[in-house]
Amino acid sequence: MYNILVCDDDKEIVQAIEIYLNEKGYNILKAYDGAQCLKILRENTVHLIILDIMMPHMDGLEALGRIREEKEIPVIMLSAKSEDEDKISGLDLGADDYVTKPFNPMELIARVNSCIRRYTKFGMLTEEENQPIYQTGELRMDDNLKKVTVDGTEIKLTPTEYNILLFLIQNKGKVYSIEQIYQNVWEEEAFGAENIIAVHIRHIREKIEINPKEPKYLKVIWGIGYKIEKI
Amino acid sequence: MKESKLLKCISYLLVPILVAMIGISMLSNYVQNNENVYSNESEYFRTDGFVSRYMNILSNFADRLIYQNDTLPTCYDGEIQICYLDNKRYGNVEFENCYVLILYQNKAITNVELTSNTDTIEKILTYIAQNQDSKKVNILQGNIESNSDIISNKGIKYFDYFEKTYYTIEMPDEMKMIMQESEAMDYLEETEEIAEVETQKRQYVTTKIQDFSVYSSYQEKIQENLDEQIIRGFLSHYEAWGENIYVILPVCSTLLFLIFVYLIISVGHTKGKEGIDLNDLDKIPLEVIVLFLCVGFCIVGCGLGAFDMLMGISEDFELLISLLIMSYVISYIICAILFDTIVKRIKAKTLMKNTLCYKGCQWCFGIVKKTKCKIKETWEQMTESMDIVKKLVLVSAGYVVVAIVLVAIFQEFGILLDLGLAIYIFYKIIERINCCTRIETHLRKMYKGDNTAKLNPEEFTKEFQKTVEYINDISNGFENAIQEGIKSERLKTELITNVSHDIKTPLTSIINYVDLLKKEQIENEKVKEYIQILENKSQRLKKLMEDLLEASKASSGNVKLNMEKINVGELIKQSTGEFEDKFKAKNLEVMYTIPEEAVWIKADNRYMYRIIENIFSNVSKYSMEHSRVYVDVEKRNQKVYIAVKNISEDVLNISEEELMQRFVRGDKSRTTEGSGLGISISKSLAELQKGSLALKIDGDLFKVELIFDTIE
Repeated sequence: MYNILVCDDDKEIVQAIEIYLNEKGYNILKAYDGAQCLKILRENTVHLIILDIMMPHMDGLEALGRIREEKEIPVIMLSAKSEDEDKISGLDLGADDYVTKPFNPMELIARVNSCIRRYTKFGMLTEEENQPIYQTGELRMDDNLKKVTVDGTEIKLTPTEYNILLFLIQNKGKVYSIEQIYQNVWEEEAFGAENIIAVHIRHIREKIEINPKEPKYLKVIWGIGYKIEKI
Repeated sequence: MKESKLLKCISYLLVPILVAMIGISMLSNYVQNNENVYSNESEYFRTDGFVSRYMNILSNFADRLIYQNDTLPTCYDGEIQICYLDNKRYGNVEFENCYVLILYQNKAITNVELTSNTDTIEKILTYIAQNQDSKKVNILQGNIESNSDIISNKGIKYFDYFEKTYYTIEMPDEMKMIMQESEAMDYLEETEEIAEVETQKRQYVTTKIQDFSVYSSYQEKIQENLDEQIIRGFLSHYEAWGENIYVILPVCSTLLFLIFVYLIISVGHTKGKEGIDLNDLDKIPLEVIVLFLCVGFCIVGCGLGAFDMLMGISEDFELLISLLIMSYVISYIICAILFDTIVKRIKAKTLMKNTLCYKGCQWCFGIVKKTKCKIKETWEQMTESMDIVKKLVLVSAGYVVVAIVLVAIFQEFGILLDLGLAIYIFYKIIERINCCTRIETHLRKMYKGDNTAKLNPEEFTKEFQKTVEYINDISNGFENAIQEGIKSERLKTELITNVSHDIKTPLTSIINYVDLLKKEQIENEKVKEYIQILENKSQRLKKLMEDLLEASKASSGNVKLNMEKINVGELIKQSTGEFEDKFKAKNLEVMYTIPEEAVWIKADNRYMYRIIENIFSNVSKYSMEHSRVYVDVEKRNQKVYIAVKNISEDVLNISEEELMQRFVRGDKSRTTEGSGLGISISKSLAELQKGSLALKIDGDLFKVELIFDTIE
C-alpha cells in the first residue's frame, strides 16, 4: 500500500483525487497548504506527493524546494498555471512531472502509476546489457522477445509500428524525417506512400505516451522529423 | 618684500650720486694721466711730432682756403679776398699766439682777426711779423724760411700735406661743388649710374706747395683751449677721487648693483597694501608716458646743446656746470620714473595691456564684433518671416551685387573673391539641402515604425529647427501611443491569464465530479443524458479557456519564439498524419501538391504546428462530408505559399475580416465545438514569425493561405 500525499487548497479537488486514487488502491494523505504538507511529510511515510502551486501560507514551489532539501520522493506538480515557464521552473526545482488543471483524471492516475513504478520496482532495476534491449526512461524494447514495455506495462504494437519504434530507439536522440524513416525501416526508396509514417507515429504515440499531445518519449519536431528522447 | 619709503628715497637719491662719483673719478683719473703731455713743453717743440703737427695746421688752413670758404667772414683788399678763420671755433691751433696767413691765387686765409688795423695783406703780414718772442715760418715757392731750426730742417718732409686734388663739379642748376679727392671719389661712385652725371661738368685742380705763399709765426708754448680749462678747473676739486679710483669704482659699482636689485624687487610693494600698488602715473598708457619722457629728453638735449655751444665761448664757469648738473638731474629723474613705472607694470602684468596700441586693438575688435552681431541680428530679423525660397532669391541677388562690386574694386583679384564667396554660399545651400535629406530619412524611418530615434534641433540650421521640433513631437506622440497600446495589451493579457487561472480551479472540480458522477450506477437515462451534456460543456469550457489564453498571448506578442530551420513539406506530412483519423471520420479526401525538394523556412516549429493544427482542425470541423481538401505548397519568388482549400458545410454568410476577428465564426457553427479563436491565433502566430495568413471565401470555397519567406 503506497501513501500518496495530495496537497491543494481546493478541498473538492483533493477529495476528487482521493476518490480516483483510492479506487486504484492508494492510501491518501491530505494537506491544504505547503506548511501542512511539510508537517505531514515529517510525520508519515509518503511514497508520492501531488502538489498544487498556488496555495496560501507557503506555495507549492517553495514547499517543493523544502521537500527536495530532505527527500527524494517523487513529486507531481498539479497547477492551473499552464505556461511553459511555469512548467520549466517546476521541473527545474525537482518535480518529476507536471500536470495542468483542469486535468484528465485518467491521465493523472497514469502518471501517478508511472512515478510509483519507476521509484519502487524498476527504478533500481538493471538488466544484462548483452541482450538486444533498448531503453530510454521507462520505455523498454526487448528485440529478442519483440516486447515493448512502458513503466513495466506491456504495449501491443503492430509490426510496422514496432519496426519504426525500434529504428528510432536504436538511434535515440537523433531526429529523422519521414523520408529517412521510410528508407531505413522499409529499406526501399520512399515513393509517396511515406505519408503513412506520420499516421503510424501518431498511433505509436497514442499507445506509449500517457498524453500523446505532450509526448515524453516519441517527440515530434514539427517541420523536421521525429526522435526518441534520450532520457 | 614690503617697500620702505625711506629706503626707497635714499636708494633713488644714491643712484645719481654714485653714478656721478664714478663718472667724475674716471674723468679725473683720465685727465691726470694725460697731464704729462704738457709737462715737457720745451722738449716737445724740438720733436718731429711738433713739426708734423705744425705743418698739419698750416695745410688745414690751405685746405679751408680752397674749399668750404663761403661761410667764413671775409674782407676784400682791392685785389685779394681775405677769409678769416676763427681759432676758437675752428682752429684747433694749440700753440700760443700762433698766426697764419696763406695766399693762393687771388685768395687769402688768416686767423688774425680782421679789424681796421688788419684789413690788408700788408697789415696782416706786419701783424704776424711783430709777434714777439716768436718763431717765424714762411714758405714761399716751395722754400722754407724759418728761424726755427727744426722746422727749416724737417718741414720739407711734410710738403706732401699740401698736395691734394680738388674736384669741381658743376651741376646743371648752376650749383657748384668743390670737393677733396676722397670725397669726390665717393660722390662720383654714388652718382655714376645716374644719367644726369653726363650733364655735369667736372674739373679738378691739383695743388702743390709751390702754389701757396705761407706766412706764420708762433710762440713756443702750448695753448690750452677753453673746454679743457673749464673741465680742469672743475676737476681740480676732485683730484683725490681720481687718485682713489681703484677703491671708488668697485665700491660704487657694487652699491649701485645692490640698489638696482633692491629697487627691482621692492618697486610696486607698499606697506599695508596687498599686491602691486599702482598709482595714477602707472595707469597712464605707456605711450603717453614715453612721449612725455621723450619731451623731457628733448629739453635735456637742448640743455646739453646749449652747453656744447657755450663750451667754446663762454667763460661763465658756474653757468656751464649748473647746466650740466641740471641736464644730468633731469635725465636721471626721467630714467627713474621710467624705470619705476615699467617695473611696476611688468609686475602687475599691465605692461602690454596698458598701452594705447593694445587698447586701440581691443576697441577695434570690439567694434568688429559688435558690427558682426548687429549684421547677423538684422539679417535674422529680416529673414525670420521669410521662407527658404525667398531667402535664396535674396541671397542670390545680394551675391550678384557683391560680386559686381568686388570685381569693380579689386578687378582680377575680385574674381577670386567672388569664387570664394560663391563656394561659401554653395556650402551654406548644401548644408540646408543636407538638413532636408536628414529630415526625409528620419520621416521614412518613422513611416516604417521606428520612433525611437530623435533628431537634435541644434544640428539643423535655423530654418529647420521648428520643423524638427514638430517632427520630434509627432514622433513622441506615436511612441507614446504605441507604448500605451503595448501596455494596455499586456494588461489585458495579464488579466486574462489571472482570470483563467481562477476559472481553471473550479473548472477542474466540475470536470472531475462530472466524471465521478458518470461512474456512479445511474438507472435514469435522462440523468445520464444530462451528465453527458455537462461533460461536453465543461470540456468545451476548458478548451475555450486554453484558446483564450493562447489568443491573448499571441496577439500581444507575449510569446517566446525559438526560430529554427524547418521543412514545410515535412511539417504538412506530419500534420496530416495527426489529422488522418479526423479527416477519415468525415470522409474527406486530402489532395497534396508538395514540391519534390525541401522548402525551408525560419520559424518556431511548435507554433508552426499550432497554425497548421488550427487550420486542419477547422477543415475537419467545418468541411462538407465526402468533399475534397486541397493542400498546396508552392515556392515562388523566395516565398512559400501554403494554401488549404475546403468546401464549407454551412453557408458562409460572413466576410473574411469578420472571420478573422476573435470570437467570430460562421453563425451556424457557433454551437459546435471550438472557440472560434483558431484563425485569430493562427494569424497572430504567423505574423509573430514574420509570415502572414490570409482568408478567402468564394461561395462555399474556404481558402486559407499562409505566406512565409523561404531560406536556403
